[in-house]
Amino acid sequence: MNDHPHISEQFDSELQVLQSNFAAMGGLVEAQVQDAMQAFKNVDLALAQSVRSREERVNEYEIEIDQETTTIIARRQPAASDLRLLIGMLKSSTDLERIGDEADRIAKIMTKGRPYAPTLDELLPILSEVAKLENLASQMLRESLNNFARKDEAGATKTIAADKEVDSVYRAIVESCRNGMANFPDHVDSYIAIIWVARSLERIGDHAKNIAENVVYSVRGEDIRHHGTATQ
Amino acid sequence: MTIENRDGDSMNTTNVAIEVPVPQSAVEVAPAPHEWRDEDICIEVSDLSLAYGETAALTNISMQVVRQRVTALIGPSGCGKSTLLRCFNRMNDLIDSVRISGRIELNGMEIHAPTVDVAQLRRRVGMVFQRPNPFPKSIYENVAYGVRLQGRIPKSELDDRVEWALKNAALWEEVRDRLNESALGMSGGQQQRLVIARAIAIQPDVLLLDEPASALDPISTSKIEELIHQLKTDYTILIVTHNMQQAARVSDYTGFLYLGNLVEYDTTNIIFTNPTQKQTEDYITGRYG
Repeated sequence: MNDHPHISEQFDSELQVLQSNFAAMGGLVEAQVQDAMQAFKNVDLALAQSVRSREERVNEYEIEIDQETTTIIARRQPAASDLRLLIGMLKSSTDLERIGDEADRIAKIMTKGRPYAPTLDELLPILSEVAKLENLASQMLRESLNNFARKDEAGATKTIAADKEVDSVYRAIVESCRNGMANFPDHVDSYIAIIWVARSLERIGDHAKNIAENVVYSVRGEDIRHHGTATQ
Repeated sequence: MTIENRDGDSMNTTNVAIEVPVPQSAVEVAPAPHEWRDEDICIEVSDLSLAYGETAALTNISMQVVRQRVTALIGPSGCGKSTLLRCFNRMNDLIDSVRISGRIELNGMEIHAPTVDVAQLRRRVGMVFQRPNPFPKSIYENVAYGVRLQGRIPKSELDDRVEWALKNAALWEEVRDRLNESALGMSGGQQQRLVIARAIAIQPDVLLLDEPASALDPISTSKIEELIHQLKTDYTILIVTHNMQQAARVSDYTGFLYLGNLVEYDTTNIIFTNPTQKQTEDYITGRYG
């Protein structure tokens, strides 16, 4: 990645503003995930509602970053590392927005979903698995944003690898919920709520992985997506 | 077997071969250097060095120029890109203090060999300069001039050649009714296309374009760029430009020169999205080195 200043200081400052907007959007989305999970764990409807009301702001950030990136591409005709940074940011802002959607979805389970009772003894082991999944997914998100800010390609590679564990914890939770539903049919609504939350956390891991892949592209110019599934 | 009914219920999913569409390449992708075959190479430059008196202008340049492709040479002022371009038709011979070493082979012929007739070489390697330089003659005579120098040719054949060259230079429709008017009355963009028509009328192998659009307005520039794109089906084109976006738009390959060295030479896609050398990266992203 190129850290030399541009001959055009104006271009540098445009890129800087864009990157701080991206970082601010990342911070907002992290807080949304954290608050949504807090609301879920404590059955805190007020907090869930405030997550839902902030969702609009996340969307505004995405639109703002898209517009600014488009303008810079049109006016500056960036090349090489500048171009890759802009493309990486453009794509990552879409992932951030979708992570925001997942946080909103978790909050929605609280505000609009069927009642669920997190204090039931039967649910406790699963809820501790959910907490583990939350930690893993949140860490992936935080790391992917740090990787982006620091242009840390090696770190991004580690972030990508972490997605495997997220997936395996998610599958274990679904399996536990399946057994739970069979054994405790009265709690089906609670199990469904947990599956929805776990599903959202698993998706958050996927989006964080995408962001980390975009870091590798921005820094090294290599598209590492869909490794193992690509036919080429 | 194709599936006409998209209704899931009625589809028989056993042993149905579905034609899966594959994405097409939106941008023409030129073969990478490691994919070049011997017969693709039009010009081979080996260890070319050039000095004006004591001042080195080019240092150990080695490169291959691919046939019927557009190769752009970019770099800051004074990097040697125009000097390199002028080596290909020995235009530098006209400067007294020039010393040249190394080899340039055009289709296997060493162009500095004593047996090479320079006038003949320049017929095979045409050149267009930054400022259009039509002769103070009619439009027709400008194009016919070089053809006549090649030997006697019947009038009807000459007419055909002039029309062919003007059509290939995307100028015919604009000038067909005023072929006998002075070329000096044309716009700058038209004059530049006329000069290109003059260059291709003698059917060279290679076209050298030295900043061909830098004196033109954006619409004339677009016309020249479109023309370059069309001409490469018949000619090997080398273009020197200080407009990087132009190089990105028109060329298949790009060479970046700096202080007389060929720093990097690759497909235009690679140079503009992921160059290997830091100097190239700094130059095309507009940074201090």
